[in-house]
Amino acid sequence: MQHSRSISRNLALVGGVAAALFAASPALAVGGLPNATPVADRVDGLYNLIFWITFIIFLGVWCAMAYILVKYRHRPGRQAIQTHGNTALEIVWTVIPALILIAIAIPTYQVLNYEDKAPNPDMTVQAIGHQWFWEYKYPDQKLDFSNQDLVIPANKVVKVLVSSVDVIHDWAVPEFGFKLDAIPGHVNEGWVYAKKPGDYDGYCMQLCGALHAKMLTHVKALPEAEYVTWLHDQQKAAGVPETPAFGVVAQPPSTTGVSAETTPSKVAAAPAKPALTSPAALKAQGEKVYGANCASCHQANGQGLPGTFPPLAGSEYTNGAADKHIQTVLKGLNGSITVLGKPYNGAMPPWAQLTDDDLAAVITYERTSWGNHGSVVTSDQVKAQRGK
Amino acid sequence: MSVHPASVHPHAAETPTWVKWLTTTDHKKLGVLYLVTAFFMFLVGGLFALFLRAQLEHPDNTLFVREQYNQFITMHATAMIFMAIIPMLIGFANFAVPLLIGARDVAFPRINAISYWLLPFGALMMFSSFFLGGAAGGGWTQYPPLSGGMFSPGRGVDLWILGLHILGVSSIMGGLNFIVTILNMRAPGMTLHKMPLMCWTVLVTSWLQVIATPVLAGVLTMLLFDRNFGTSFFRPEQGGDPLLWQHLFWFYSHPAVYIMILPAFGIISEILPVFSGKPIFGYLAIAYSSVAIGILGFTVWAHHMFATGLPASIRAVFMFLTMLIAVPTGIKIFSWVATLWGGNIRFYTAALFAISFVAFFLIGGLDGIFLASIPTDVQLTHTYWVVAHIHYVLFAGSMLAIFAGLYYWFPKMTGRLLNEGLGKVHFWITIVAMNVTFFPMHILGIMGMPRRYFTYAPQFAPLNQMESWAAFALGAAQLLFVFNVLWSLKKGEKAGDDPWSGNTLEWTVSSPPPPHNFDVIPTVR
Repeated sequence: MQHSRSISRNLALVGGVAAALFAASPALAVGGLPNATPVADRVDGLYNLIFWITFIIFLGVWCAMAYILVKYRHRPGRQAIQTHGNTALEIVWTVIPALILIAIAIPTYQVLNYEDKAPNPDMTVQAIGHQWFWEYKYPDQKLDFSNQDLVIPANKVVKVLVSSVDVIHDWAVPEFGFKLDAIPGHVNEGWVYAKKPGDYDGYCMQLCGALHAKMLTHVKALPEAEYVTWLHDQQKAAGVPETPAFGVVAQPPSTTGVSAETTPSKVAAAPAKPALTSPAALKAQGEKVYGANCASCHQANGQGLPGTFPPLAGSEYTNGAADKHIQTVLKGLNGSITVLGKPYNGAMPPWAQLTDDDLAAVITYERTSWGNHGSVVTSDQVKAQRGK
Repeated sequence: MSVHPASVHPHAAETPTWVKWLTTTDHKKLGVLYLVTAFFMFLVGGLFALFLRAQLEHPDNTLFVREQYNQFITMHATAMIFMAIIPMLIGFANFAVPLLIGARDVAFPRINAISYWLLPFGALMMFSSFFLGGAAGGGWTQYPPLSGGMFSPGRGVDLWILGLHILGVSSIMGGLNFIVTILNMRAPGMTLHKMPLMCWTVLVTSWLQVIATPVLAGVLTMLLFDRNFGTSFFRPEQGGDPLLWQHLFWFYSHPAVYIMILPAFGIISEILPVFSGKPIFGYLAIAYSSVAIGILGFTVWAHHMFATGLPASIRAVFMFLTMLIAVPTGIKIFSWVATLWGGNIRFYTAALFAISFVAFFLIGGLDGIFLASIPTDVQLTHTYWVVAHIHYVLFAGSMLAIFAGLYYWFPKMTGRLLNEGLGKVHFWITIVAMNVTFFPMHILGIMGMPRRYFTYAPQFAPLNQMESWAAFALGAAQLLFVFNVLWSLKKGEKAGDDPWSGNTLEWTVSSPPPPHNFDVIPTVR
């Protein structure tokens, strides 16, 4: 039953695996992303501190083990040294790790304090998670975008308020060292100071349903002057009055105030509430609601995405019975359906959280755009379908 | 068919073997049943993992996407945690603990049988969801509102909850059984401080099961009610809070990680001394560090929630407590290394798995420190770093210890040794493939690749491809192990009572042991 001849082979393999791991480990130290914010600089510094401490512990234990496995391997006649312990040694290897942990905890606490307390913000943006896109609001500038890049100025402190209207999402930009869960009913606050202009990848990092992996975003940091120009262009296009780009913090941004603004019923952000009586008014309002909630999947032109999101242009749903269309939007869809002869198997979330007016508007918009010839839908019809 | 006169002999009335196995209350047979069932679930969970790796082999793959991918990640984790690793460790506890303490069985053999039989039915309940409209897709953490009725309208989450309830009942009963057994049924002279370390870890684990699992049962019931009976514990639009789920879920699930690692520590603490030919180094320190880990395990749950917007002061408290766990864990690692020091180390497969446990679980422990420190945790959480960490804890930790235990106790269970040659091939493929599969996930995490994504950007492709092929090799190596078991059952070398020169009580009786274990209850001096 002895296999001592294979020992040298085993040890050579141990050495091989060890060498491969040692070679891979420094990749952990340098494989990081460029640090685009001062927070990321500090997180990176802390990472490197912990990396070198743990790497030295790792090397120490592995070298000790390699030495022991070679030196004390079985040979004929070898007697094991019978020992039950060594109190002094055991105290040493209890106390030293405790001291090392304190050495890690102190700088950790400093970085935590730095990243947790935002300096005076120059401006505020809201990142609002939807299945499966991000809506960005500039509350002081009265702007609201869905499914587009977030545009911010470089070298300015931007307060970011993260929230969600449906399930839990997470707004994360690794190069910023920024990651916050977007939890319905909560508003989480963080801050970003991009050190230089550039494009940064962002991700939804909390499992949020079927298309979690497609919930990508980008942050575009512009030089200050370019940002101001961009902002005023956007305000002109949206028909809102021009405002200063920075420093407009009119109301103290209390958490409750923001939370009220992000409650589901206000997603569409209809400014004043005109009575949506005429089909034209319905359709105009519907276009806004569509842009904010539907276009990310079904696309602005109503064509959907082949194989993933069914088209609304020419579809059986948008040209058929109004009640079925209303039910689909209210309750969502799950499982396989056929649209224009093609199979789809995804999930459409329910939109019952929108108001009757907004639902009537968006459904009317869908039924009368892109060559569709469905009927106009009123908010009374939507209300009637809610209970069913 | 006509009855041959000879078969009317009294011996024909003897119960057939398969009926004996299905009706047994013998802790050794139940232990083997646990191990066989749970190893089968390990293969099922592994198959799901390979589906995931197949999907991730290249970007924009369309093999298993969207809802189906989410169901697979959910069922991979659920099967591995609740139906494979925990029950395999309970299987070892069942087989070994009464023998180790010199008892004839556990305190409540019938309750032990119920605990086992709930396992396959809980598993069936969960997996039936695939044929009843689709499994749960919210990840094994099932965070509401995603797992709520509005966003997961099918029956998958309900079946997942009910299946987990069944497994939880099994876990609580099993825990009680082992607490009573270990505290009351030790052989004369075996004080707690003379008890084998495996029994210490099972004792602590049993307390974790008894204390933590009812909290899981409560939170699962709350979700079930939210989904079906109109309550709103977790529904923000009705005044509930999704974060409540996370607090209660992790109050169970962090101790659950220790349920999965403490018995593994116990197995290693039994095996290393035997193959070093010397006693364990620092017995009391190892025993009480298990107790410390068990207690601290209840105080660290919020470190899973560092990115949820908890106040910095609260997060700091949880960070310090989490770091504290590194101290007792370090004591164990150093004590195991010191156990090898000065030994006469025999490199059987069981020893190789046990030694590599120390070497690679170390990585899982050290990369956990990055996740204890809040700013680095926030950078790395929800990315592949966390996936790397949990697999270095549960594969390089729990699974390597389980393999060590299987090679070590297989001869006591069956009377035959597993083939050493096949065992070594199994060991080396497993070790290399495991590291090539899981180590690069650290780097993907640093690069910012989110977990639970069914596709990814091109910069993540090379490492993902490498991981996928290594994962296939890792899976294939486990089939080699299954072959080894089947072959050795028939043709393996006869083990005798004590093939390893062991020093605990199970090696003083025959292999397999008689049904009553000991003719005379041994006295420990």
